[in-house]
Amino acid sequence: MIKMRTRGARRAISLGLAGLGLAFLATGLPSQLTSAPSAVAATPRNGQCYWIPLGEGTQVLNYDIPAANSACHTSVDWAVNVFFGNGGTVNSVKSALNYWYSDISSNDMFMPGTDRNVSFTDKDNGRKRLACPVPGDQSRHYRVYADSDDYLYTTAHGPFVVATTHWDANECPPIGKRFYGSEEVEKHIASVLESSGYWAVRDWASFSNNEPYRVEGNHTWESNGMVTYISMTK
Amino acid sequence: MTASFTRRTRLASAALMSTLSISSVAVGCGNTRTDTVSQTQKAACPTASTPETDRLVAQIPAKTTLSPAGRPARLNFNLPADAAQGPATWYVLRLSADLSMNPSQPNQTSAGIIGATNGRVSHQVELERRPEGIRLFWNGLLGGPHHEATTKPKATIKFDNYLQTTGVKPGKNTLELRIDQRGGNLVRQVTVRPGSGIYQASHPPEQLGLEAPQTVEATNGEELAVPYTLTRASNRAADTPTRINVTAQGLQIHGPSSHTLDCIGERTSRRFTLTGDPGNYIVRVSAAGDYNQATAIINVHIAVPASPSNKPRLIAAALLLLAAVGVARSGNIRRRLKKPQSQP
Repeated sequence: MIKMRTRGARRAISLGLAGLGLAFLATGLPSQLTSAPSAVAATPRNGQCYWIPLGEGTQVLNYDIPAANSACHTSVDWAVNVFFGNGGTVNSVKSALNYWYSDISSNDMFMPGTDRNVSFTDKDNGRKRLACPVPGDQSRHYRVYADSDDYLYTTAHGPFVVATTHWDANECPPIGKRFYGSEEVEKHIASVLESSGYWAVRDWASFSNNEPYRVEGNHTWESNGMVTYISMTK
Repeated sequence: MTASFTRRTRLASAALMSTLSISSVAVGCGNTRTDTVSQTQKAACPTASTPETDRLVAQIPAKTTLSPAGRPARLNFNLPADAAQGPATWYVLRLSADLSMNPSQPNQTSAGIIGATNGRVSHQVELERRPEGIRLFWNGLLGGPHHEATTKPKATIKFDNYLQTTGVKPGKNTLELRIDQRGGNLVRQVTVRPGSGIYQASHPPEQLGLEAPQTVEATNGEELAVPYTLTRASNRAADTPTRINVTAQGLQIHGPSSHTLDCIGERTSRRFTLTGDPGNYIVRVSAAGDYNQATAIINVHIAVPASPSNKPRLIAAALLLLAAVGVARSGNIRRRLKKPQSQP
């Protein structure tokens, strides 16, 4: 009789403690889960993204985003890291880089902004050396953005476009697919255009998108937050 | 080479930095009407000044011809010792030209027709061969983006734009017009029409500007103020009524969703008031009237009211669960130990 009472009491205590613990978890975990970064969409450091004002009612976001209506606090692709000014247009950039980046990517990304205070959202699939690298292979990739797929204009910068860069690896089929190396591709683009007679200014201006090394799913961040300026007039 | 590189760096950096500061001083005529209710009493607005006529500084000779194989066309012109691109005087290139093209080029062939002063590009006419014909595009601060698609081999360019800030200097300046063929042969010839040249204007590029914060943060349950400031180039156009609308999907707008300003003056500031549930939202404020349409996009973040950190709660939960497991296991072990052993 005593034994039974003791067993019952223990069972009741353990059930009570477990219930209490689960109740704590139930109230504590959801907020932890919602603030955790998604495994699919990349997130900007500290959930911060900004409009970069460039004069005369023209501004761009400091990251490109995976859908036209993505909230950039929670879903971005890459930090803007190249500014093609003084004659930078989507076609002039793609033409100048065609030798190194000839293939067309299949994935569009988006860039919202304003042109003379009028909103736009541009999209670009970008250019790569290989449209879809097989497992074990990789390819540099850049995307350029402006209003209406052509260019933006301000008196400070002339015709210009902005760009994001990165490496793609193991995409077709996607076995171990991963994306990384935005700083390296930024340097590569500046270097090959300089060799073609254009001039570049590295670490020209801060776009407030510094991303220390961070692995987020298949997306590896590393950006110093400074944009490379390339004049597209020789 | 080093000196030139340094100068370019400084100019490029100064150019960006000069645009990154946004003033928030509000001075305006201050007459507001709200929502859609019309108001019969017309507020007194300052008399509108008449836009001034631009003055010709340097004319590009009519019939100046650019051909793909030829050299760029160059025109030297002098500006006063105090010449600068703003704030008192502004310089504009007005380019009118006949364009002859080669439609037989393969798809995606592109070319550019470029106008630059002192190496700083102000005019960029973009051409691209597409399945539907040749697409023409240019974008400037006077006319905005211009799109045109044609299957004909001829077209007309009429493109006026402000020069770059660093494309204007005292003394001798050089205007250059050239064709950038980009490996194809899309442009056959460009012939300049009469009236093309560098002009001096007194009005700045922007007519109507709309300034608003990039991000507004609030806590759930609080009213959220979205302030904005309209700025107007005073001698560009008459100071006419302007309507400002706010759209905020997922948020509740308190008060009117539009303001009507009888006049703007140089600057006028107002605000919209919103509330909403925790989350991230995009609010769009746009102004329309006899000016360019001005739009501001504001990221809104509404946070859950501050609560104690979850960490102690999680630690307590884990400890309680461990204690529960411990109690249950100790009970089992004791039962096993106390179980009577069967005697052989």
